[in-house]
Amino acid sequence: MNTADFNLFTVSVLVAALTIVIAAVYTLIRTNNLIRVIIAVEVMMKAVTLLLILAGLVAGNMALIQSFIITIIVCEVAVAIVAAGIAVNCYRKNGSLNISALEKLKG
Amino acid sequence: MTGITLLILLVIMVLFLLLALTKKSLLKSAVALACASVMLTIILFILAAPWGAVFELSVCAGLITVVFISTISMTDAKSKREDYEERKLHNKKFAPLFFILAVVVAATAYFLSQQAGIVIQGNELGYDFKEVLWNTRQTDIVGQIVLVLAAVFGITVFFKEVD
Amino acid sequence: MNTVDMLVLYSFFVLPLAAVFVFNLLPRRVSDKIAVHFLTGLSLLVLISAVVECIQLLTKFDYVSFSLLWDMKAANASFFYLDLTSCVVIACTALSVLCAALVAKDSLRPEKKYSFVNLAVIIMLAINGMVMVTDLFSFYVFLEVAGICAFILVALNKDSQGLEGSFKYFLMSALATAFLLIGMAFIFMNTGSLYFVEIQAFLSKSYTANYFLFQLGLCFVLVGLCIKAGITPFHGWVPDAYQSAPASVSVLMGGIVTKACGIYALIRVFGFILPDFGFVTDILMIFALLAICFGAFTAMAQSNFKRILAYSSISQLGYIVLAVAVGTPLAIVGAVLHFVNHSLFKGSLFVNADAIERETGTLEITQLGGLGKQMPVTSISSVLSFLSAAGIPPLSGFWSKFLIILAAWLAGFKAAAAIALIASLVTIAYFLRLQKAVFFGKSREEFADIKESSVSNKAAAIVLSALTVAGSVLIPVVLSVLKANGLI
Repeated sequence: MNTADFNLFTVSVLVAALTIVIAAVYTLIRTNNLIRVIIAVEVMMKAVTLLLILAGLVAGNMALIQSFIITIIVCEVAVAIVAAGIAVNCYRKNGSLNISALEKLKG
Repeated sequence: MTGITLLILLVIMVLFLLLALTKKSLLKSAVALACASVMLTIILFILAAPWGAVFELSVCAGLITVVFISTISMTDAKSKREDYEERKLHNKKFAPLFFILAVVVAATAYFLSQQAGIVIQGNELGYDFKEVLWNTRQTDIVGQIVLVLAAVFGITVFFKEVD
Repeated sequence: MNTVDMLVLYSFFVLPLAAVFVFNLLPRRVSDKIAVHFLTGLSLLVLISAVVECIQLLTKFDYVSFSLLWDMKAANASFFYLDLTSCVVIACTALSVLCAALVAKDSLRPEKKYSFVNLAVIIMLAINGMVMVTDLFSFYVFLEVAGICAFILVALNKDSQGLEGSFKYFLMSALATAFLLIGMAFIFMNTGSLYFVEIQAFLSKSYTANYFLFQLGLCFVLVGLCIKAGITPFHGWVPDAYQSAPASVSVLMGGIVTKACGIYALIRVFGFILPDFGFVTDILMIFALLAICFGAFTAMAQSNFKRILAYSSISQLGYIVLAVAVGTPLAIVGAVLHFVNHSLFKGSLFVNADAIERETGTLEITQLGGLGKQMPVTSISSVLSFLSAAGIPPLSGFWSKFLIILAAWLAGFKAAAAIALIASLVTIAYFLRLQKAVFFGKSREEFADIKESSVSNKAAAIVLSALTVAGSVLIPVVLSVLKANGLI
C-alpha cells in the first residue's frame, strides 16, 4: 500500500475510533437497560481493537499486536460472561432489567 | 484501491455499531454487533493479520453473540423490546449538535495524524506470530489460564438455576 | 539462587494455582467442611514466605527474577520480576486474604464458602501476578482477572444491594479498561514496546513535540488507573461496592483490591519519573487533593458505618496518589508505607464492622451506641485503627503520613502539603464522630445482651491492631535501613 492509502487509512481509523468511543460512552450514560450496557462495553472494545491495529501498523510489529488482540478478546469474553451473569441474577431478583429498579443505595 | 476498500469497510462497521447501540430490540443489537465483528475480521485479513482475524471471527462474532442471545432468552420476552425505556437515546433536535461533533472529531483526527506524525510502516519488521506469542508473551498466557479459571467460577456462582 | 529462594518464589504463584486445583479435586463434602481452614492455611503460608522474602530483599538490596516453566534466558523471553515494592504488596495481599478468611468463617453462609475460597485464592494469584510482571500489557491481563473476581465476590450473596454495587463496579471498570487500552495503543505507537523499563527509558529522554502521542497515551493510562483506584472524580462506584459487599469481601476490597489494581501501577511506572512531566504531575496532584478533601468532607455526613469507611478510603488513597505525583524517592517510600498502613487499619475497621453487623444487626450509626463496654476487643482495635488513620504519633500511620507531607513540602509543593495536613484534622473529626456514636455514650436497651464477636473475628482484629502498633516500632527501623543504603 502506498503512502496516500495509508494517510487515508490513518485518518479514517481515528475518526471511526473516536466516533465509536463517544457513541458508546453516551449510550452508557443514558441507557436504562442492563444488557445494553454490556453491548456498549463490547462496542468500546471494538474501537480499542481498531486503535491497536493502527498502533501495530505504525510500529511495524503486527505479530505482537495480534497477540495483544487475541488476549484482549479472551478477556472481553470473560468479562461479558460475568456481566451477563450479574444481569440475569438482577432479572431473577427484581423481575426486570431496568437500572432504575436497582437504585436502592444512595449517598 | 486497498485504501478505498478499507474506508468502505470502516464506514460499514461504524454503521453496524451505531445500529447495535440504538436499536430498540436487544436481539437485533446483538446481531448488529456480530456483523460489525465480521467487518473487523475482513479488515484484519486485508492488513495481513490472519491470526487475529480468525480469533475475532470465531470468538467475537460467534461466542459473544451466543452469550448475548442466551442471556436475552434467559430474561423476559417482554424485555427484548424495551417497553420501559422511557428516555430515548436519540432525539431529533440533537442533529445539529451531532454534526458539529462530527466536524470536531474529523478535525481532531486530522490533527493527530499530521501533527503527531503517525507514519505507517506496514509489517516491515516481519516477526513470526507464533514465535512472538509462545516465546515472548508467556506471562500473558499464564494470565489467560487464570482468567479462564476465574470465569468458570463466575459461571458456577451466577448461573446455577435455583438454590 | 538457593533452594530456600526458589521455594519462597514458587510459593507466590505456583502454590495458589496448585491449591485451586487440589481444592476442586477433593469431593464436595470434604471441600465444604475444610473450606475456610484451607484458605487460612494457604494465605498464612504465602504471608510467611512474603515476609521472609521482604526481609531478604531489604538486607541484600537487589531484585529477583524467575520464570515458571519456560526458559527465561532465551532471547526476549518474558519473566516474573520481584523487588521490594512487589514483595510488600504480596505480603499485604496475603494478610488481607487471611483476615477475610477469618471473618468469613462465621459471617458467610455455608453454601457460599466454596465459591468464596476459590475466588479469594484466584484474586490472590491475580494480584501476585500483577505485581510481578515486567510490562504493561501483562499487567492489564492480571488486572482483568482481579477485576472479574472482584465483581463476582461483591455479588456473592446475590442480594439486590450486592448486585447493584457489583454492576456499578463493572460499568466503571469496563470504562477504565477501555481507557487503559487506548492509552497503551498510543504509547505503543511511539515506543514500540510496552515493557516498563522501555517506557521509563523513553520518558527520561528529553521530549520534543514528536512524542505528543506518548503524552496522550500517558494521560489515557492515568485516567484508566484512576478510575480503577477510585480517585475523585471517578470515585462513583467505591461507596456502593464497599457497602453492599458481604463482610469478608469488604475486608478484601478495602484492604487490597482497589489499591493493588490502581495505585500499584502508578507507583511502579510513574513513581520515579513524574517530576519531569509538568502537566501530568499537575493533573495527578489536583486529582489527589480533590480525593483527599472530598473523601474527608463527605465522610462527615454519612450515617452508614461501611459507607464512612469507603469515603475514608478515597481520602487515604488520595494521600498515596499525592505522594506519587510528588515523585521524589522520599515520597515513594512514604507512598509504599502508607499502602501497607492502609491495608492494616482499613482491614481492621472492616473486621470491626462485620463484628458489629453480626451482633447488632445494623450498621447505621444513629441506631448504635454504647457498645464499648460489651465489645471491648472490637472497640479497642477500632480506636487504634482510627488513631493510625488520622496520623497520630507514635502509631504507624503517623510515620507514613508524615513522610508524605514532608516530601511534598521539601519538593516545593507547599500548598499541597498544607491542604493534606488540614485534611488530616478533618480525618480525626469524622473518625471521632464515628467512635463516639458507635462505641461510647450510653448503651441502648435493645443491645443489652449482645456479647463480643466470635473467636476468629477477634483474632483477625487483634492481629491487625497488633501489627499497627508493631509498625510504630518497625517502620523507623526500616527507614533507617533505607537511609543507610542511601535510598532516601
